[in-house]
This record gives sequence, C-alpha cells and structure tokens, in this order.
Amino acid sequence: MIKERLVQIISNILILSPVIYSFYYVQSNVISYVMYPINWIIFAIPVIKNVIPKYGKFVYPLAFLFTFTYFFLVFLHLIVVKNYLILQYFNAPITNLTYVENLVFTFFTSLPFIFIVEGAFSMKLQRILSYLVIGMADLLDMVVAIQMNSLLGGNIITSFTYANALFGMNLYTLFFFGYEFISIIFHVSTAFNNALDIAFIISIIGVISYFFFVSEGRKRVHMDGIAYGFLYGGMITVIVSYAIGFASGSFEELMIIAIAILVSLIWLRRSSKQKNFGLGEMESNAIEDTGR
Amino acid sequence: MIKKTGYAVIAALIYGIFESIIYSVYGFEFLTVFFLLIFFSVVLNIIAFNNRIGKNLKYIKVRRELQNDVMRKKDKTKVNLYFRNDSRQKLYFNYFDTLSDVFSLYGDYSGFVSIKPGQVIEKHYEIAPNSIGKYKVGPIKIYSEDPMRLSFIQMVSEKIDEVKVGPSSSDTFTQRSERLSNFIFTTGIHRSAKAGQGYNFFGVRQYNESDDFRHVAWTKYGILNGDDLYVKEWEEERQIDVLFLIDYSIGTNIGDQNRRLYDTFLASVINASYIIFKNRDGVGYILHSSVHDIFIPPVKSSKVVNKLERAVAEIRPEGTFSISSATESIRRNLRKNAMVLTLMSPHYAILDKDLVPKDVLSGKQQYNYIMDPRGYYVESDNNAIMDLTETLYNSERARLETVARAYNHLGLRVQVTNEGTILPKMIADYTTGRMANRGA
Repeated sequence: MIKERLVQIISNILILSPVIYSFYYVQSNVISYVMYPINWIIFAIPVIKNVIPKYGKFVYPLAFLFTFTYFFLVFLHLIVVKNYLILQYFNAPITNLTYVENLVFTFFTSLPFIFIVEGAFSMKLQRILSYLVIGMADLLDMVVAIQMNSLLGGNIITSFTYANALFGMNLYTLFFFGYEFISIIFHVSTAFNNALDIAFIISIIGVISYFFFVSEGRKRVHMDGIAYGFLYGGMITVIVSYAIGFASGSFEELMIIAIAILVSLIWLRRSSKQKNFGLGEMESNAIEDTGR
Repeated sequence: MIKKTGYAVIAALIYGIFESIIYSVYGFEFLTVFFLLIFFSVVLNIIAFNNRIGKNLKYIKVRRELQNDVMRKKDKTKVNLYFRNDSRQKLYFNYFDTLSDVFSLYGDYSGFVSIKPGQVIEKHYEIAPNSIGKYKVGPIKIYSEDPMRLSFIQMVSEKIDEVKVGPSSSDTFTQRSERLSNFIFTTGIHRSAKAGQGYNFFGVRQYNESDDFRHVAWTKYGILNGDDLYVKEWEEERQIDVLFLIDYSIGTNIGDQNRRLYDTFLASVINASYIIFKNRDGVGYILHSSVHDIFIPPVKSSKVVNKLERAVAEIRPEGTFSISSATESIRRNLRKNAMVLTLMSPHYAILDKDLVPKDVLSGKQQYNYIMDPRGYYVESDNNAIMDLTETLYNSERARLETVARAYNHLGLRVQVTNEGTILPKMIADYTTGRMANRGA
C-alpha cells in the first residue's frame, strides 16, 4: 500500500515536472521581491494539509478564515479612530500601494506551490492534469514577466502587470479581430525553452508510467492495447502540427486545432455508443470440445 | 461507455490545448504539441478500445452449470462457468456471477479472463447457502476497461438459475442418533404391533373375580394381609397427531448470515418431528403468514419432513402474522383432533385488546411459544452499546412475558422461550399431552 502510494507520488511529480521547473525558475528570479513570512506560510499550508490527513480538510477553510479575519481587522483598525487593545496589533500598511503590490505579487508567485503539492498527492489523473494546466498558466505569465524585466526598467511588478496586460490584449484581439496583438516583439529565451521541452518529455513519460504502474482499483486491465493510443495519437499530432505550420497567424492555428479536436470527439462519440446486447448462451455440447 | 474520469481528462486537456495556443505566441510551441499529443493519445486509446474490444465483446458466449439446484443449507455445490470467444479478436474481460449474499462463495466466482478466438475457458467455484429458501444465481456480467481506465464496456448474460435450499441435515440430529440420551424427552414408550394401541402402566388395585389372571401383580402379593392379591391397571395409549404451526412472516427473518430465526424454528420442528415419529405418532405442519398458508397434513412417516423441506425451499418468510389468523387457519385446515404447537416470532407477539377467546382458541389442544430475540441481533464490542442492548433485551423479554400472560388470560397456553429451550419445551408439552390421553 505504501509502496503503491510512493509510486503514484513519483509518477505525479514526473507529470508535473514542467510546472516544477517553471516554479523553480520563477522563484530563483523573484527572490528579492517576495515578502518572506507570507511566502513560507503559503508554502506550509498544502504540506500541513497532506501531512495531517485526518484534519486536512480544515486547513484551507481555516487559512481563508484567518486571512479574511486578519484583513477585516486591519480595515477596522483603519476606520476606527481610537486604538483599542487588540486592534493595535493589526496595523498592516494596506494604504501603501507598494506594500499591496508586493503582497499580491507574493501571493501569486507562491500559489503554484499549492498546485504542485496538491497535484503530487492527488489520486486522480484528471486532477493532476488540471493542476498542470492551471499551474502552467500562472507560471508562464511570470516567466514572460521575468524575461521582459530588463526591457521594462527592472521593476518586476511593472513587468508582471505588463505581461498580464499583454496576455489579456492578445486574447481580446485574437477572439474579436482574428489576429494576435503582439507579433513576437518579445520571445522567451532559448535556454529556458529547451529546458522546458525536456520537462514536457519527462511529463509524457510520467503519463505513460501512470497508466502502467498506478492502479486505481483492483480490476485487471490488459496493457497491450495502450500502445495503440500513443501510436495513433502521435501520428495525428504530427499531422496536425504539420498542418499548423501552414497556418499564418494564431487564428488559423486555432481553427485547424479546433477542427481536429471536433473530428476526434465526434469519432469518439460514435465509437462509444453502446447498444444493449445480451450475451448468448453456449450450447452444452460445446463443452465437450474442451476435452472434459 | 466513457467514464466521468474520461470526460474530465478530455475536458482538462482541451482547456490545456487552447491555453497553450495563447502562450505559443511567446515561443512556448512545445506546450501545444504536448497537450495535443496527450489529448489525441487519450482519445485514440478510447476509440481503439471501443473498436477492438467493445464491438467484439458481444460474441462471447457463456454457460453456467450447477451440480444440483436442490440443496441443503451449508452443503457445498459446485458451479461451472464456461466462456467461448466466437469473434476473430483476442479479448479480455473481467467477469462476475451475481449471487445473493446468503451464499458463501469459494473459488472463481469472479475474475479476469483473456481468451483467444475460438477458445473455451472454464471457471469453477462452489456455493454454500446459509439460509433456507429459494434464491437466484445470476446473471453473469462481463466488463472490460481500456488500458487507461477511462472507458468501459459491460455485457450481461441473463442466465438465471433458481436454487432451492432446504434445512441442513446437521441440524436434525434426532433423525440419525439412536443414543439413549435422545430418549430423555420421551417416556413410557411401548412399542406394540398395533400403533396407537399400546399400554402404559397406570397402577394396582385389589383383585376381583372378573379380572384376567395374567395381570396379577405378583410382587404385591400378600403385602398387607399375607394373602391379598392385586392386579395391574393399564392405560390405553392413543395415537395423537401433532401439528406444528410455524410463523413464516417477515418477523422471523432476523439474525445474521449464519443464523436466522426461521432456521431455528425449522430445525427445532424437524428434530421434534423425528422424536414424535419414534412414538408412532403423526406430524403435520402449517407454514402461516399473511402471504403463505401452506398446510401439510399429519402423516406418521418421515416423508412429511421431506415435504416440509421442499415447501420451505420454495419460499422465504414474508408477510405478517397474527394469532387470530393462525387460529382461523387451524380451524380451516385441521379437521381431525390433534395437538397444535405454534412457534411465533417476537415481532408479531403484540397485545391486541380487541381479542376475545373465540379469536384465539381453535378448539384443539394448543401450546404456543414466543421466541426471545436475544442472540438474533448483531452483538457489538462497544461496552456502552452492549449495556444498552442488554437493557433492550430485558425490556423486550418483559414485554413478551406480558403478552404471554395476556394470552393466558384468554385461555391460550403461551410461554416465552429461547433457542436452547424451545425443543425441550415442545417435547415436554407433547409428552404431557400424550400422557393425558388427548388427541385422536
């Protein structure tokens, strides 16, 4: 049981390796900007939750409750003129913009750690993939912000805000006007990209190992057929990637991928239609063929 | 069929693909390739599974063979399962034979099968029923999952066999044993060539001239005066029929997997029957509830026990029970005079203030037993629950005693008994009734 759980955690970590690498890259570059007590508190929350399984379900609600109560008392301290005995301790400078910026920045840079830990301890594949997707979304913004920092004057908060604004602008122009706003005035460094590509390959190995080594139940399945999925899936990915190469602009890429996904889903749906067949009964003379 | 997990994984991957398209602007092209590869691998895996296994699973033929479909409680019976693959593909699936939880199972009643085209595979298992009645075996279900466990296919063979379970032969010890101790419940046995015309010693009286000289009690000669003579008096033994009325309502369906109240009733009744047969008396049965009213007329041979076993193997306890309806059933079915022994469950032993003697008295000599439910509920290891249960048992016993007294006031002989004392009490009452020369 412990051995199986350990194998599952290792497999989950392999799947989450792009997020882990990106998180390491971001943390090593924002080390001088984050507010350390808050950073460590946020890191500790998912660890506590998974180390104490009996009371783990109370950890996040309690954390939200303490945070809300703290900031409520800070606001109350601002509003109330007299300094009461308890309120005097809740005097965080929330009217100071720099403080608030650093606080928000610390929160968003520390949040992916929660996704990593929750994903590592997760029992279900769809949750691990969801944490991978959400974690990458959060971290890739920060990677862009870090790499744009030198172009934008060196203030990481400004770069972070600018990167998010660019992302929003890109989405807007892509969906409403059919082209991306930023036509590669900025490109992520090759070194980071190469390392991330290796992390994605490790993640694919993790996904394959998940299906082989992690059992979500005691029923046996035949693993021979798993090769069909990866073989055909790989072939179609190559075809779609080749087709994307002919696309000029993100909108056309989006269209090609959307069509490929739609065709796959229709084919999937048609192949999954189960008619209610009952099994036939074997004749009694057929048993003699077994040589009994 | 795609599982919820499958839909969730596909949804997460589609979201990842679209997000990666946005980020590919910054140079993260491999992100898109990664999510596309995982997505198409998952989808094609499910499609390949549906086309290879899913479409061919319906060509599996199954067969179940039971060694016998009439069995006794606790006796093991062998069951053979056969699977044949009539398709052209090698198939794999998990199977299980649906069985009631009254059966203890040994062997391959569920498992995994990998079967080549044309191959026949055998699986064997044994079943041992823990309760009497009629039960179903089947249907056989087979199901297969894809390697990523995101979809599955299930097929059912609607082959259902019915199994009839009679009382256990190990419960009816009185049939087999001829030990002297088995006769402790019977006294005064006198086997004569004519059943029902034997004699029991009654006493001695003074001899007079009309008496048969063969019956002189020579051991008493001259005991008072030196020449006084006495003769033995004999009491004619009459044949009596005994009718067991068994409460077969849902109230008797209490207990655990290995021990049920209706099992206890039947075992006690059958044991008592064999003792009664030794006295050359007839035994009959009524299985009574609001749903069942099965009358087996009294017969002096043990074949009537076989009839009872066949009857109980066909049914299960159902319905409600009331003493007034049981009395009505006795009046309707029993024409001859007989002794009636009634076994009642505690659930339907209730005080009905509207009852009058004519509702409960059948006109026959009747002895009624209400079973104490102690021992038929699952015991807990928790001390607090044990104490509470003890209190409940005591209050239930007090209630049953009250009900028994109420029926006694109406003229019906009712007593509360338990598993250990029901057989001795029945035999004691039977013996008393016999010796009092009641019956036919």
